[in-house]
Amino acid sequence: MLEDGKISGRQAAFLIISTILPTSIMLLPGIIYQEAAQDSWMSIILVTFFGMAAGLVIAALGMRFPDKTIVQYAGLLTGRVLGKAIGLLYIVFFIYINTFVIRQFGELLVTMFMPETPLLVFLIGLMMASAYSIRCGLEVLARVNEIVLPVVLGLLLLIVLLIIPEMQAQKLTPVLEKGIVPVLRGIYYPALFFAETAVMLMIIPFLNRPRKAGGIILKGIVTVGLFQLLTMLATIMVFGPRTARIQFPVLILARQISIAELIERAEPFVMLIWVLGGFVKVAVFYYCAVLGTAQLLNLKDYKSLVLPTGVLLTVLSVLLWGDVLELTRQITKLLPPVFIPIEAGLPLLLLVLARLRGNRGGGR
Amino acid sequence: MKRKTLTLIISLALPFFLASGCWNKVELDQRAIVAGFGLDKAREEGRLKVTVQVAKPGEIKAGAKSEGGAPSAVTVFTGTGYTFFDGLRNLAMVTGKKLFLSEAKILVVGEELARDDIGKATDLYERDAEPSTRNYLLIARGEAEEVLETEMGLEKIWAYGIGNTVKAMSAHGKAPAIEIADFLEAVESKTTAPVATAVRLVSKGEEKGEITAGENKARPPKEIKVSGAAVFRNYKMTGWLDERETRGLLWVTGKIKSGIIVVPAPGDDSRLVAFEIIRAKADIKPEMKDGNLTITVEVEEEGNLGEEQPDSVDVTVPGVLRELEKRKKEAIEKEILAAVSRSRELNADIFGFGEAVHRKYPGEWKQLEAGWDEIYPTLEVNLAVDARIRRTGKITKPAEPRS
Repeated sequence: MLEDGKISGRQAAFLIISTILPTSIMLLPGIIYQEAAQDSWMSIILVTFFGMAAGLVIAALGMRFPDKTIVQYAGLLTGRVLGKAIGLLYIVFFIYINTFVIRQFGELLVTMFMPETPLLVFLIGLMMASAYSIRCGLEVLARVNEIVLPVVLGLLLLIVLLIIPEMQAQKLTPVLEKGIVPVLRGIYYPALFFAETAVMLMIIPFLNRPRKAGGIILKGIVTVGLFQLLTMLATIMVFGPRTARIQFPVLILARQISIAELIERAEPFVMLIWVLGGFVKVAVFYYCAVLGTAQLLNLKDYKSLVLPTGVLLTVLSVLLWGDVLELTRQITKLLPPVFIPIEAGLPLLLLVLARLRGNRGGGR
Repeated sequence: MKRKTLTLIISLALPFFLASGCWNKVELDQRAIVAGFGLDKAREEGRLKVTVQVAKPGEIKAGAKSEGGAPSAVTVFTGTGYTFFDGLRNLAMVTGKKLFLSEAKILVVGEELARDDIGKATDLYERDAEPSTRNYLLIARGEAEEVLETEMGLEKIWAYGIGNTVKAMSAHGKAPAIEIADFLEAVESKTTAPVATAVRLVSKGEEKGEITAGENKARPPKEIKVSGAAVFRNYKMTGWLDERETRGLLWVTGKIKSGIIVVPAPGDDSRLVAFEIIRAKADIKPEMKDGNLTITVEVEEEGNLGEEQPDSVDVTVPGVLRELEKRKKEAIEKEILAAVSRSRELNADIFGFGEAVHRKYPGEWKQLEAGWDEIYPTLEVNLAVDARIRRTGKITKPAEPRS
């Protein structure tokens, strides 16, 4: 095996949360608000159900091949050539989506905290940390995340609690002003994030009990949904229509905090959430890409691929977009129609195929 | 062996790169910490005059006194630029240090600029990483620069003193406390008219009639007075509210936390009775009946008898307290009506009646919204004020002279 480590169900659920949450809470409130306005929170509830469905498909597929990743078993289902193509598709997906995450990571830090520091400085720091953790293996990453995630969630809760005095519940009304259609449209963008459980296609074989994958994914998605709902509600009740124009609403939320002139401007919390959570998120995708490539090429070890892939990711994330608006435009316009099918559609197709052919990759 | 040495060298060298601090760090003594901003139209066409009040960290502690006697730890700089941002950067030429914007508490905009376009002041606040949209927005009768150049009460950093005054005045109902975020929220609403705190300079003693010629000929000392409000339509200022109208506005928006209501005593109009407001609540209730829209403003106020000029009322007589409550209620109603009629004059929905209708009647709102400008001046506004007197203080009756 390329990866000797095994991770527990809890570690896997934590990884899922860290894979989705950091960027989704930062980016989504504004984007969803543009569609669903004050009813955006309903979109989040609905998209959580979508995420659960997509997660169950991914789990069902993975559990049929409890000791293989999708790169390995795709060939068993579709034939060798097509299987390799599917494997390659997922590797490209993991790399491409990661470039967006990495760039966003840097953009937030540059926009909000250190406008004069070159973007690349943040990216190189991030990639060096990620590369190191990946070389240490999945188990190490999972354990680091066990420390990181409670901090991230705790800080997020703290921000929402501290901002309560600024909330005005009336900003949630009128409910369903323009009917249900905008709410449904509001599902489209977050669906991309809520189907990021696709990383489990690569990770299920390393669970100590792969049969539990379904429950693990559901736990992860529901947690993400709850926190997303919380931040969305807080954002709407504090900013109202301004939400739609704000690039990183949670950050501005933290900035609005003012308790008795004593606790003010809590944005360092957000920076912690972003740096810690963003690091795990990037590392997970990075790991999936590296491991997948090694399996596709039948290498004995993936470690030799870590550095080249890291360089590729860093360079791409700088070169692909000239400005931040182009980046956001692509996340909202270009990615969903391409990536949602890869995240959820293709696994569904493969699952149906596996059912029809009765494939079960039990033996080794 | 070789590998170990290399690792050692690298790990010893790393702190030099990693622990040296931020990329663009600026030490505290290299910073000019801005306490308040001012923005006016510059004399040159198309330019803005930017004023910053910079805190001098060294003197905050030392307790230094300026010549005037009032404590001060600020310096004021003024410069011009094509935009707010441009002007701020140009100021570095005179300050010699880079301005640090995060600790500012107020933004003062001169009336002339406010009447022209206040959007020139607010965008930077939302967009730039440093300034906070929680700063109070004040509109100066006259120039913002003069306001920032005037010393303020007991506060060493004058702009902070203004910020504190705004907060206190809002609770007392003399001026609204409007943060830039609140202002922009009203701008974004299609019907609500934004308001901002009004500030002006008065000559010391001017209102008391104490000023004497010859004393301080060159420049009579001035005082900052935070009172009243400026009313906007979108980004353009259209008029002022005086103190009374402002309290009317704050009654309706439920911002009043304390303050004094003075009414003539029943039976003797030359004697006054003062009530202290303890708490107040307000609710705007729109009602649509057969296509007719009415707004009911419900205000619940509770207070104490704070003072009476002897010997005007005897609260121990049954019924007198009820009579006083009635007078207080009427006084509140008059203030609200003053605000309503002024807002009709300006055709500015400063109370957010439109948004209240929007929330209650989202279906009908679409048609109403487009014609709100025509609807608002003739909108039927009913008042339901409930004013209570709970306590009469430590005594019941004032000392009675023997006759």
